Amino acid sequence: MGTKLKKSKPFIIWLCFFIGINIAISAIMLTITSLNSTYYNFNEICTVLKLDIKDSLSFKNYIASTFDFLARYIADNDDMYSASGELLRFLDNEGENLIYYAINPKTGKVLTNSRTDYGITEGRTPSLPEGYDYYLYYNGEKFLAELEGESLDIYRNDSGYKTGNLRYYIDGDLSASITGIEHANSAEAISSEDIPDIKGCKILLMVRQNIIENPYAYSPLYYLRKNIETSRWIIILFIAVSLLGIALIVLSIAKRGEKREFDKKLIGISGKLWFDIKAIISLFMLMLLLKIPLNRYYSHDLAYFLFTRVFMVAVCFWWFYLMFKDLFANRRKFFSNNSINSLIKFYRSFENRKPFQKAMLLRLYALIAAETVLVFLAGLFFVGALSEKEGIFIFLTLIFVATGIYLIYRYIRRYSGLISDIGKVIDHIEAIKNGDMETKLILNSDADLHLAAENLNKIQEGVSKAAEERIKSERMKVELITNVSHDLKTPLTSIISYTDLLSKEEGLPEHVKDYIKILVQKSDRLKTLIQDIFDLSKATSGEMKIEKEKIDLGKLIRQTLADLDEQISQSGLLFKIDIPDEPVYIISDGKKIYRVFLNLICNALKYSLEGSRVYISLNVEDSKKKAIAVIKNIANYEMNFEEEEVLERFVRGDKSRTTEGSGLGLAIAQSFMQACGGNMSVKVDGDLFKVELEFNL
Amino acid sequence: MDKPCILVVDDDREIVKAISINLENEGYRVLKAYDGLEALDIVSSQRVQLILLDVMMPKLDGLSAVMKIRQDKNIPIIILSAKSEDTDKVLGLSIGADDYVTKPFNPMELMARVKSQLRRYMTLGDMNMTGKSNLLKSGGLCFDTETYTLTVDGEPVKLTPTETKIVELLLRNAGRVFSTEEIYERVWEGPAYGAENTVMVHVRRIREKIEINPKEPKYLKVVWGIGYKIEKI
Repeated sequence: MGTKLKKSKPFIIWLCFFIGINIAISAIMLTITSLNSTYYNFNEICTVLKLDIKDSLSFKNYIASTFDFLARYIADNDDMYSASGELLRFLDNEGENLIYYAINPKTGKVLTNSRTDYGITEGRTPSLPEGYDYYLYYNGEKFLAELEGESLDIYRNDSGYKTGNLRYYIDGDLSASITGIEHANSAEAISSEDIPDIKGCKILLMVRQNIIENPYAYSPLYYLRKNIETSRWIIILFIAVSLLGIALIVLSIAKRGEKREFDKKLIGISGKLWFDIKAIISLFMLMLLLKIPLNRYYSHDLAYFLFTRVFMVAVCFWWFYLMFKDLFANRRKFFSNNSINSLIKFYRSFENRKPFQKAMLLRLYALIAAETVLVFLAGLFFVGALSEKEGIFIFLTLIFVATGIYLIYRYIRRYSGLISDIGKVIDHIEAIKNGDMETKLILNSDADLHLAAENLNKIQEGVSKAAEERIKSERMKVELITNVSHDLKTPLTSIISYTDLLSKEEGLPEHVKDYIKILVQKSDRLKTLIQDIFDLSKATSGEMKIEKEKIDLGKLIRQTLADLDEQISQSGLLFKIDIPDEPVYIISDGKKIYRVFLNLICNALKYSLEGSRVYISLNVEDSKKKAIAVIKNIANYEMNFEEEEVLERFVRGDKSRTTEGSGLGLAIAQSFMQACGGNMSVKVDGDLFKVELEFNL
Repeated sequence: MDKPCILVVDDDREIVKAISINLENEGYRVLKAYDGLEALDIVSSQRVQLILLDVMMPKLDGLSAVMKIRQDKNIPIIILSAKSEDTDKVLGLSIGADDYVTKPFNPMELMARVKSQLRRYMTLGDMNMTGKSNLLKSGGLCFDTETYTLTVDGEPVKLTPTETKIVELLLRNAGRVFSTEEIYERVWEGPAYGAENTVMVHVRRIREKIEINPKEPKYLKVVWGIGYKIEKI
């Protein structure tokens, strides 16, 4: 229950606001429509509120017309009103409410519904009988009036008695009035000749204090009273309702948070409407608003008044209220939600099911088709506009032209968006190529290339995952090899130590000494093998630390050769060295490059034909920004293997030989070269074995 | 004088035994331990002149043991390890070990290293070197500028006059790298035209004379592609 109330609270507050505003509109419309005679209306409202009939304008109007009747009748020498004696009858309809007495001393004519003359024939001021509190008396020269024992000065301009024809009588100088032409133009004015001369005539009107209903006839005075009473209630009601309205508005302002909540709901509904429909309705509303009459309102039909004025104004007000709220809440969406956009959206949902290339063509065709239709329609209406000269035709022509231009604009915008997206995709592919695995390509969810971008992101993810996995597995491999090599080294230490002890043993037979010699050799080979495998695996997995510095490649080769000086001179091979005297600087890790040359030169020493020449050269190719070192030798065996094969791990140049070395020399050289950023290639041409090393200058 | 006492520590008993045999053949007294804690016990309770220590051991590893021993003892320590990375060697030496031998080692080389360490510790360790200003030193390398003689761990080394000049140059500027041209110009006192090879070969010969293992030089080092230097130790 509580939650239900809480839920409906915004609605209730909003309802308060709604009712309050409607009341305010009604009140304003009422005020505007009755604005023409504010002063009188204000007095009227006061008298009505006081319930003082005899002070009200309607009463004074009634008295004025009654007086006019009597005056005309009594002053009429030719008895021109006698035929309309029934005119007097309506005075009799008043019954006890009205006592009249009129006498024309010139003709001796007397009009009255009373048996007494209240002393006026003697020239005295009339004395009111019991139950009566008002009289208006013309004593032949001037007017006298009394209400509730107090005399009234009806000559005052604001007395309210200068109404109808009475003002001519009151304004005294009748002759002036007769010749006066200031009233001639007035619609109400009776031509001055019509005003009878009542000089000398005595006319008395007396009204009962408590006006009662005449059961036998229609008493205008009674209904006047009734009307005033009703009016009073209406005014009280009006004020009460206005106060209620103000209270409701104040309440809704105080609780504007809740009000806004419901506003939002309404906006949610109105937001779904297309902009064009809103525009048309708004235009219609505006036209309606301009046609609402604001002149004074005369009809007594309240329903008609409410509909024509209040209802229409209220409808317009609420419509524009909603539109403004909508506009401020939805901003761009207010305009963008239109029929064209909806159509485009619908078209796009259809397009999305097509493959990209088809969709692009389809879009172009759809644009051309739509433009054709629009041009045709615009032309049609333009011709209509030329011949008919109707505003609506011109308007429609403009609408179609504008729609056509808008469609082209949308197409171009979409197209340029597509181009920029293609650019982004290309950039992204480039980034991926360069190894950026982090940044993702984000395109609008409705972009044509959205799916492509998503897929590209997935590929990127997959690649980065694979790379990560590879790095992980490489690291694990290195770890494994490190552990394995450690585990191999420990027993090998014992083997080497004990074979060494054995070899020192004296008094052993000769053949046992031979066995031991083999053991020593093999354990030594095992040692180098283990170390080489370890180095190789580290280099190939990228775990090897490279300490780059500026080194002279020529000097490095010479140093290596000097280091191997003894072996070279013992080998019986002739080394032909061609290294430039000036330094060849490269940025690399000297220790690793030394290892490369050491391995290659040792390789040449091992597998060169006896007495042949080994060529070592170093050339700088400035154009390629590269330094190239070449080592050539003639093999002492038939090289029946592929060039790539020789670089593979564990493949030895000479398959049949199993002497010292691990067979990993070339593989280590190559992986070290790669780790240092260089390149190594092997060429076999007959018996010529050639290794080329490329360094970046 | 007593036979020097050497402590051998390794969790592999066979290796300890093999080393012990070798050491005893050389005439040393040998104490054995099979983990770091045991080694610390022996070091604190007995007089030990040299320690051979494995790194990967149960209870207390070799590096921690070296640090503990170094807190109050100045005995030479040779680390024996299967870890052959440069970084491992640098770590071991910087912690306080005097030498680093990788497994599997050549027993002869190990003996040579033991001898050199002992010689330095027992004969030179007591000598008051600070008084003599005419000595150039780097680790066990000592060059007397008056007598023009070089000793390695107290053992005199015979050098040719050119070799002596090269050693003096490098030792005077220990830690600095000299290019072959510079060495030539300063030793031969003439322009170096294609004379690099001469310098390189000389350096190799010096290395063979002063290093226990010339392939892994301790003092005279090659800076590949740049030149040569003697480490400042």
